[in-house]
Amino acid sequence: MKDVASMGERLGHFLATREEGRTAIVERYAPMTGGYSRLMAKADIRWDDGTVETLVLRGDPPAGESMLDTDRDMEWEVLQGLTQLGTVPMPAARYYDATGEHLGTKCIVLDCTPGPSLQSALEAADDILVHRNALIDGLAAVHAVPIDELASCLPRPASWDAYLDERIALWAQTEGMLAESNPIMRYVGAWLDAHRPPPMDLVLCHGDFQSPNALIHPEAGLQLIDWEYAHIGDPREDLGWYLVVSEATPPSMYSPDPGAFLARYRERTGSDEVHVNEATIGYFSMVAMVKIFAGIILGASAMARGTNASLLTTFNLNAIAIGHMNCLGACGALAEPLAALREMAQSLEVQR
Amino acid sequence: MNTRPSTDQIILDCRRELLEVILPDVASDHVRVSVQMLENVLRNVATRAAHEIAWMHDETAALEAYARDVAAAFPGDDALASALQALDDGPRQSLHLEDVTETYSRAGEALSCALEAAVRAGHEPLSQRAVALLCARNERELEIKGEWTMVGRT
Repeated sequence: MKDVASMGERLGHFLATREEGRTAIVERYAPMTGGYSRLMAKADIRWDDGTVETLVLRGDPPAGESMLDTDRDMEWEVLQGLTQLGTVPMPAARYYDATGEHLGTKCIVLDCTPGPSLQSALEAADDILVHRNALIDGLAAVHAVPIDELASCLPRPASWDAYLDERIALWAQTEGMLAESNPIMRYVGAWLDAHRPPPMDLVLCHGDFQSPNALIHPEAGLQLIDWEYAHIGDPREDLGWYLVVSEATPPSMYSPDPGAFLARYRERTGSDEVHVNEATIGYFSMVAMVKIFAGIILGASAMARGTNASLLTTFNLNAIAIGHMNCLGACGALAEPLAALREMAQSLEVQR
Repeated sequence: MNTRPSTDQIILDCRRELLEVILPDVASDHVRVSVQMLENVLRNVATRAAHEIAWMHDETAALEAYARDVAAAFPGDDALASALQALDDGPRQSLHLEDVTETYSRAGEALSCALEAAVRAGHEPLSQRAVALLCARNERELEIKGEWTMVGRT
């Protein structure tokens, strides 16, 4: 995908294999910046009937160059399912080179959203809160997806506790794979296990819900992109992850008024305040952090062992420091509120 | 050997060259992002070059002291005993970076086993001491980080 000189012709051939009876000329092909884990490119296409459109290509980097390894087959299946469902604001998934036979690597081809990222829009906005409701409503739409209609490849946890056990265990499991000890990860795992919040029904989670992963279409409005971490989980994971990332790369639409942010989410999803509140979102910010945190920190260990040579890996070592800081702060602040919520949830259960 | 300019000074001079000489002539957005990342990495590396051996050496002593206190409070903890033995067997006398790093990692494992024992037993004073050690560790990480943003994500 990096070979700009040959990609136009390769993409044209690929599109012809996917659209029987049609041919396409690639008028422009250019790599994109912005994707931290996948190779991204944009292509202007002219079909033989005269129609023109822009497509986005999203492919796997060569082995050893990826900071974060995720499953392109699974992402394609999720994108295809959501495109067919049509209830989630996102660019339509169009084609997939599942083997890399045509495009040189496993590669998903999507509609291009003509507009800036939400992150860019926020940085340029006088009032960032004008985008808040659209972002929350987009997430509510994701969490409302009937999971039985989703891709069969997405693992289904047996229960909320089983799901959380698995998520928490990732902290110690990841630490065990590192090239050096990490006592902060071991502490967080132990702490999460000892401070569980009241449970919720499992839903489809975006898995990397953050402002750079939303685009603003001039007519269709907010569109969610980068679905490689989609999974079945607790809906508070996405909210918790948004909290983590927006604090690290402001502006945040959560921090100025968490109460209003969560009230909108509760209104759009029918959830209640015992389950969706600042303490539980703080808890899930740590739960959510481990998967992407693991990608970064395992990349660093791979580098230490000589099997990864990505500049991104070195650059993102700083994200580990921020993650550590957020986790330690959250453990200190959340123990008492979570204990109170567990008691409240239990007494509500008894009353019912 | 030449020691002046120091390693961190040399690295920071490379960073200056990158920013003032190379970056202005880079037209490609893709490459500009890489250069901006390199700038940040070089700043991190300069701080580490200046301090990391001393910082790891000091912290190792604090982690070991804590782990031995926990081992005395919970003498039957096999994982902790084993981690402390591994620390004893480490290359503790050497100041070569690889050896200091290895010793520091072994001390970290001893701390992990010790804090897990303390949390498991609900021993609040020992748990709080562990948290203080972790916070001190993170302060150094943040000092290395300095100013940092996700370059190229907009």
